[in-house]
Amino acid sequence: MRSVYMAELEELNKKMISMGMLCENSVAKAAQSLVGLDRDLAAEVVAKREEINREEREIENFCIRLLLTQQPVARDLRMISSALKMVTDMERIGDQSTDIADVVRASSLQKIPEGLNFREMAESVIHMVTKSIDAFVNQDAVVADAIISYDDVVDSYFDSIKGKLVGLLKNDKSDTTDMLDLLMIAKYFERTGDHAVNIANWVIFSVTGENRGVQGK
Amino acid sequence: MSTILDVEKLNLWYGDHHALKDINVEIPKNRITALIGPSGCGKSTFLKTLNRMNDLVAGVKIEGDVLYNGQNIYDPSVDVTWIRKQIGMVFQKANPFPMSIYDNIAYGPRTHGIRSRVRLDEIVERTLRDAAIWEEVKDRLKKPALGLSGGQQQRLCIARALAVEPDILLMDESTSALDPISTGKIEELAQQLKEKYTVVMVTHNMQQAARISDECAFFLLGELVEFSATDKMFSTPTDKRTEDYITGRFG
Amino acid sequence: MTETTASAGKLKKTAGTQATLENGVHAVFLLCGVLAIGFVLCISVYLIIAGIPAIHKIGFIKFITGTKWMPTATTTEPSFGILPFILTSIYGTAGAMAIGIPVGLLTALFLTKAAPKRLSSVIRSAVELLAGIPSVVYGLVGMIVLVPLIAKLFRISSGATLFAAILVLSIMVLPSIINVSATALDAVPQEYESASLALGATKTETYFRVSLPAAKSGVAASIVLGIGRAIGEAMAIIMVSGNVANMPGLLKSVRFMTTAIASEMSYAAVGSLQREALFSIGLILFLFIMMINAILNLMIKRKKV
Repeated sequence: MRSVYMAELEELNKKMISMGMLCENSVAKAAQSLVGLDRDLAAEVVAKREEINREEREIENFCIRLLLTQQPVARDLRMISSALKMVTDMERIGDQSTDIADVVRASSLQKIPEGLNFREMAESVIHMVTKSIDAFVNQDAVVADAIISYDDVVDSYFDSIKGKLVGLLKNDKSDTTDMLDLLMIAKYFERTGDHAVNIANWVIFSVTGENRGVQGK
Repeated sequence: MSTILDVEKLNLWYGDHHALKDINVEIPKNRITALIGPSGCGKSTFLKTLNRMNDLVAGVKIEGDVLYNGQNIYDPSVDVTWIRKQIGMVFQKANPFPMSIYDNIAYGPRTHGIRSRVRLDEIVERTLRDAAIWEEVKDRLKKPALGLSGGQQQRLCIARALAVEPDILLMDESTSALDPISTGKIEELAQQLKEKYTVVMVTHNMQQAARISDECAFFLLGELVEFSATDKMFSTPTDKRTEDYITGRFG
Repeated sequence: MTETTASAGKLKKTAGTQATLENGVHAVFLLCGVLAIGFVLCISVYLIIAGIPAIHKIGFIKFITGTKWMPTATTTEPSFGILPFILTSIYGTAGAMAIGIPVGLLTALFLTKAAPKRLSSVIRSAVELLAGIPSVVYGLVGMIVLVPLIAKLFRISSGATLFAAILVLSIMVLPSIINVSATALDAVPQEYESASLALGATKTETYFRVSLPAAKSGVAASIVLGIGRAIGEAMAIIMVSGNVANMPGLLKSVRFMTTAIASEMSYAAVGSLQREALFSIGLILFLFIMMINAILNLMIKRKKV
């Protein structure tokens, strides 16, 4: 039994969980700051960015060292190499949340117009991020598969919001800058969903060895 | 990819101990096949059944067929010395004879009737070149082989085995007693050799198996648990026992 | 504090007694070693002192090359040529080795390589028994069985000949050759034999082309051992060789260097040239054996290197 090696694999798991939670919280807070138009909360999200980046570098170095010292094969090799790829997507999720928070802070928006279901979209995205990280923790390819399909839901929310925003812009009753801000926020949420899908794909690779290819960034 | 050795229902007992249980495998031609597994799993025993070196062990009983190019090597009418000429072996510890380098290489051909000095010279040079050691020893062919370093001696043993022109080369943990540089040279040699020969190697170094073999067979407690392409075995093994072994989860 | 000084004191005392004991034991070892050297020196010196006078009086060349040994001749000048004895010892030893080496080596090969375990241990015990049989018993059996047989076979009056001596000697050297060669063959690493077999050689080819050559220094040592035994044997051959101071012939009665000394010493007059000459034969024999031992040592040293 390679007890040092087993302990290090455990450690990697823990680090991934911890970073996963950081990202989940970022998305949740960014969504909350939008819905409540809470600019202080948005500032908190921005402040967390550095920590997420640091964790990404730490996990990358840890994985590379594991590859060097333990020469993993089979299941372990897949797990470690997919962890390397997943932290990139997790860091991007952190970035998207920061971008959302930045827009919220800088925006002059006072109220989110009726009919724009940002709350539902945000909840879906948070659900996807949470579940993708759960799938990794439990090495559950079934859950991962479900997330990949669920992305359609998020995409349709985005299309609906975009359509309504176009309508509002045409009406000329609202502030164009604010509308564009909202469009960007919606896009950031949609991109977050895509990154969650990437994470799910890497989970499937880790569990089954099937490399389905990931969506572009 | 054709098969050069077809093993069917091979069973082996050392006295009462059932050392090989119902082995069925096809060894492909011109490839490197690695045999891996924990100590005592039967991989070396299996290797030695391929050139009937197990016949020399007292109290051994062998059932089953090993077909070499379609012919069963265990058929009583087969000349075992001819089998061993066609299927050569390199051992774990280099074992050159206490003779000159030249005589070591010439031993095999002389055994099989080649006496002409010219032919022997040609064989000696050719096999020492094939074993990537000609440049190092060409000026001291008459010196004792035991004066060479460990890595050189092992390459000499490979050349000696090649001198009888086998089809298959069996390597029984041939690099486990060598330093990394000598090991590297022999690994490279094995990869060149597979163009003309077939290599079957036992190794307990899994990185080595992953590095140079094309096919891999995992043995456990006398059974052949899994046999597949090396890439596949080391990325997505089929049997849990295989995965547990190669990831080091049982000890 | 007192405890440590007390225990330190005890330590010193035990160290002291230990040192004395060590030195004492070493002294005993030294004494034994010196004694052994002393014995050899004494014998050598005595032989030289005893043997030189006769050689001096007779003349070395005449002594060594003279073909007639008649020390008690009264009608003619007594002659002291010991060439017959020297040649007989040489021929007898050579003959014994000519039979003993092939038989011994093949037996050793059989024992170590080819024989099944049980047969091998039976043969080994038999060989050990052979080694333990006293020379006089060999002589007895030779006298009772071999000598009449030879007489009948070759239709000569007496079977007590060089031939009989050679036969007896060859049986006597067999245990030495077999045991030492077998040990040397056992010591040949099995890897050499595996390598040879894996190249497609048969077992026989392997034994003769790999095992024997690899064991050659051990085999050579066994041969030298056998020679030493043969040349020094007296008791057995005195009973079968006929004891006549002839120039050697296979079916002639002969006398060896050893038997020459043994047979005449009892009645040679004290102070006579004959007695002194017998000592000289002893000296020459001793020189032969020294030479053989020197060769043996050289071979063993080479083997160690």
